[in-house]
Formats: sequence, structure tokens, C-alpha cells
Amino acid sequence: MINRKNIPNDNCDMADALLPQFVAGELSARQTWQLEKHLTSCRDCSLKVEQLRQTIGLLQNCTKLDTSDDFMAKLHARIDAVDASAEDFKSSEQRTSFRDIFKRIGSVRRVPGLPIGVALGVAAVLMISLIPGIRPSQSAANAYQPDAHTSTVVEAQLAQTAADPLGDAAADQLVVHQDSSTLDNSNP
Amino acid sequence: MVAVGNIMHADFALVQRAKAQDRAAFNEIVLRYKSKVYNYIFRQVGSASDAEDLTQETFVRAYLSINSFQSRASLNTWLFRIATNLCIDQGRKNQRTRSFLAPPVREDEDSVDQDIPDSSFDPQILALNSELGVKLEAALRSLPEKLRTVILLYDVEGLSYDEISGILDCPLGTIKSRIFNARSALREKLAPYLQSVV
Repeated sequence: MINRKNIPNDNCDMADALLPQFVAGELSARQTWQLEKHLTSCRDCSLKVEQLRQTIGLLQNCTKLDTSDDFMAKLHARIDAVDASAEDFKSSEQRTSFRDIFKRIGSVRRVPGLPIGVALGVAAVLMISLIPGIRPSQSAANAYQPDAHTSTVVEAQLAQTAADPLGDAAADQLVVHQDSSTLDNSNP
Repeated sequence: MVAVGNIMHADFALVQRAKAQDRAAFNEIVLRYKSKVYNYIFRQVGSASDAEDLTQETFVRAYLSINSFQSRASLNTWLFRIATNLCIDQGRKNQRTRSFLAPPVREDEDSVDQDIPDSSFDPQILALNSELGVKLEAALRSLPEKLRTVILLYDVEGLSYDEISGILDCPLGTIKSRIFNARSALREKLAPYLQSVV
């Protein structure tokens, strides 16, 4: 055993802190010289240096272990599985648009009462289109062509005026009423 | 230096081929580095089956992200970075599992005075066939994760301070300090066994 009483130099604590750097050759020239001077007279610190060097030697010569025999086979299987899942992912990306549509439908279904509203709306449109005389396409055409409608009416009025320049249907009716009242009044 | 340059040149060529979907080139990369990665991971996690699984996971991740590998770093460093991240994740998982069974264990750089656990039951450790080797493996396992990582990368795997600094995203000074602390801690743990050898 090492007897600390035999150590003439009492800088062991300081030396102990510097030993790892000393072994790694990381100390300055002055620090190295001071420590070496201490080591020549301190067996305890010299032993620590020797132990440190031995520890490093053990680490650098650690037994090299190897993987199991089927390591490569297992790795290939894993990589193949990864490749296959990557392919699946690519094809699923192509199907994304369809999936999105279905998802949207699914999310719409969650709104309460909306399907009933949509169904009623569709039924109303169908009923309107089935009523005779109402042609949505024609009325829509008229709605979108107000000038054409106006010109048709104006043309009809012009034609009637040309045929009977003095004609006035309302006035004729008035005359008829007046005549009848006159006749009625003429009767005693 | 010439040998290292040749290795890096060969690695670069393999990586370029692997990026072009050459499976044979990727196989060559695996064959070159699987033992180094496995040894590192095994000493981090302490279990042969976990180490093998994580080594495979390292290469699967490398395979998936080979296109993002920048040739500025060495392939060696890049693989150790992936492996280190996986080991850290595994350590966290194990810690969470342990926390259900036992009170939490303090895991910081200063808490290096833990007893050396008995790892002699592990068949891979037994295969080391040396009492001192068994004690060294156990001492490594008892180190805090941060110290263990740097000592394994520096002394066992032979990486430089700069490479380790890049892997761990830590300043150079921190890496050096951790290496010195780890060596001192290991020396203390192994002292009773080393004295008989000296």
C-alpha cells in the first residue's frame, strides 16, 4: 500500500485534476514540467498515471464483437419491407384525390340535417322541372336576354299599329261599353 | 493519413453509387461498418439483441436518408451520429420503463460514483473471456450516458475531438472535459483490478 506520509510534495489534489490532461498531452510545457517534477516524488500520483494509461489501453484494445450470422439477411428483409411500404405510399398518394373526396363526403355527413336539406332541394328542383309549361332553360334564356324580349314586344306593337293605325283595343272596349250603356239608357 | 484518405475516397464512391439506388454499393457500406456500429451500440445499451436491432435500424435509416448525406462529413461520423441518436432514444425509453418499476436514477455528468453492475450474465460479455474485460464493460455501462458516449467514440472507436463534437453538437472544450472525466471515473472504478496488474 502507498503511504501518503512518504510523499514529500503535497500538491496531489492539484496534480490529480491535471492527470487526464497530462496523459492526453494537453498540458502546457510549464504545467507538464511541474507535474513531472511532482510525479518523480509522489508514488500515489505516479500510480494513478499508470492506471490511467492502462485504462486507456484497455479501452483502445476492447474486444471486437461481431453481429450474428443472419444480420445481413435480416437487414435485407427490413430494407425490402421499407421499400415495399414506400411503394404502397406512392400508390396511395395517387389515390389521394379519391380518398379526399370520400373524406369530404364523410365530413359532410357529420353535419346534422344537411342530407335532408340536400334531398329536399333536389326534390324541389325535380318537381319544378316536371310542371308542364315551365321550361327552366327557356325562362333562363329570357332572364339572361332582356333586350331580346323587349325587342320582340316592341316589334309586335309596331306590327299591330301598322295594320290598324287608329286601332286601340282598350278604346274599342270602352266604346262598346259606352254604346251598350247608351242603349240601356235609351230604353225606357 | 493516406490510408484514411483512401477509405474516405472509397466511401465517397460507394455513397455516390448508393445514392443512385445501387443496392450492392449499400451492402458494401454495411459490410464495412456494421461491426464498428454494432460494437459501439452494444457498449451503449449492454444487450446483444437490442444492439443488433439498433444496428439494423441505423443502417435502415442510413438507407432511407442516403440522399441527404453530405460528403463534407465522413461516412463513419454520419453512421455514428445516427447510432448515437438511436441509443439516446433507447436510453430514454428504458428510463421511462424503469421509472414505473423503481425510483428515478440521477443521470448527470457528476454522478460517476455508482457501483459497477454485474453484467457477467450477458453471453456477449462472457465471450470477452477476460475478467478485466468484463470489469471494463461493466464500468463503462455504469458511467452516465454523456461520459460513456464520448469515451466510446474517442478511445474505443478512435474518432477525433472534432468528429465527436460534430456528432454530439457540443463544443470542443465540453468534449475534452467529458473525455477526461470519463477516463478518471473509469480509472477509479477499475483501480482495484488494475493494481494487481501493475
